[in-house]
Amino acid sequence: MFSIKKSFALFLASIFILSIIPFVAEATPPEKVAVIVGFKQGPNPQLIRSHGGEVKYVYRYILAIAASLPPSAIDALQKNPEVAYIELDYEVRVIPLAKPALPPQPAQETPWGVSKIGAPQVWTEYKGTGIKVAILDTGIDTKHPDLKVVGGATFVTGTKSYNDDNGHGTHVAGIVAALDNDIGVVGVAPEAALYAVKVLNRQGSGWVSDIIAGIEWSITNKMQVISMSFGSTSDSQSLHDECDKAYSVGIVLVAAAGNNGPGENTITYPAKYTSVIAVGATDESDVVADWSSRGPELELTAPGVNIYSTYKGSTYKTLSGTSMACPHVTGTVALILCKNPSLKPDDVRVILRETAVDLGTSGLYSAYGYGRVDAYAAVTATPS
Amino acid sequence: MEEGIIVEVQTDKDEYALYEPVRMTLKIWNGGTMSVELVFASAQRYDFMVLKDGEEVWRWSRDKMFAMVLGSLSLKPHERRVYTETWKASGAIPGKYNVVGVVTSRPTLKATSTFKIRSS
Repeated sequence: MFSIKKSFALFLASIFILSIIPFVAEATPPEKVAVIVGFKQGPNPQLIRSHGGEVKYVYRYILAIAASLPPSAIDALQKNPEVAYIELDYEVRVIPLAKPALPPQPAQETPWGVSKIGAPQVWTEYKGTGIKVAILDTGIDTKHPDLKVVGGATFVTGTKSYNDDNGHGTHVAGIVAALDNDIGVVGVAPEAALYAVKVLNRQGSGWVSDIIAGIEWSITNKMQVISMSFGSTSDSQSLHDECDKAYSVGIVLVAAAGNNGPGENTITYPAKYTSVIAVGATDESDVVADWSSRGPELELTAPGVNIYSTYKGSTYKTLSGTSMACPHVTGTVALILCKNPSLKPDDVRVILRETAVDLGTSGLYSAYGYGRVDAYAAVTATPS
Repeated sequence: MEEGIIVEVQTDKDEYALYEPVRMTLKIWNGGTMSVELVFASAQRYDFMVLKDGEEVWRWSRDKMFAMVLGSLSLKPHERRVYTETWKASGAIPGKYNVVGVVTSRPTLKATSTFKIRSS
């Protein structure tokens, strides 16, 4: 009540100020003011009208009338014994929700996977600066303080932005390129240009047709690397053709091998296509996860067990999956291209294969591919 | 692990006219007294398959991809999840069909039901 009285007093004061400017007062008759008048007994519209007011609503469930009153009537009515109160009728606007406070940001740490592949040793010379990386996923948290999203697009029906409504895409993006600052985590290529291409919905699933559209966008917008942390056991000719097309125009495609291990021949599409680098998941001891998909198409392994990275809502989270292994390779490709942007996808693949840490004996190619990716060795082997 | 978990699949009708869409519902219910946690290899939680004479004629997940992240679903006693999808059945021929609802956890949980498509 106090604040209402106070604001009303301010309002009266402003009326007073206006009224001492004769020119204004003469030129325009005082405008009526929208108010709500409370009554002690029954609402009395006649009383409002007798003071030159216009009745808008006579309420049924409260003893009040909404009306427009000449400013002079306000004072008179306030003194009327029938009237309990008069308050200004505010225009109610949809007030944007107060920005949720930024969750506390932990001090920056280097996640084990980023260290394991030797990325920090590369940063003295190359940080992936400006290399265009398309993250085909659930979007990326555009407000995350540990990520810089350069652009993107959404292909998910019912969404208008490439902001992440699931969290998965933000996690993947952070593994590739979380910023090298004081907070959170740091990615493999912390200065790579992240593009959020939203092709998976809030549940983390997506239509093949939308994924193809996302690759088309990546070709049109001259992406240099496409990261695909998703898969399916179903083959698709159109997706296969689209991946081949992207590869032929010089884009490096990296995908999660799948989490359908330990059985043989469990690599999912699109990782299974020859134009795509299939990445399996290893743990901190360089042992392949039992759920990591196996098969002759497996090209590399990378950290994918208990990976700490950025998450939606400006937070951080630990997740496991070949979804997490794939972006370690994506980031490594960005580092390689940063040193030599003229390399063709085939050249990049040869470098990655030849420098990978060979983990399996020859009989374990289906589980480890050419071995666990080594960013430092790969960039060192890259001709400048 | 799946003790007390009940999986049911139903179609909205027993019989359909030719080319009439078939709406199917998969229910997973914890009928036990303990909380149960189901683990998943990807963002996929369920699937539906339609079979005729043992041959798969439609599968919900066929034209979809899933985030390759491990996940889980925790169900308290009496808690349930319901998933509904529709098969347009546009190319279907008359006859008897089986529908299989799958909870794509490890191991998978399945339920089967039948329906008929009339010739007119």
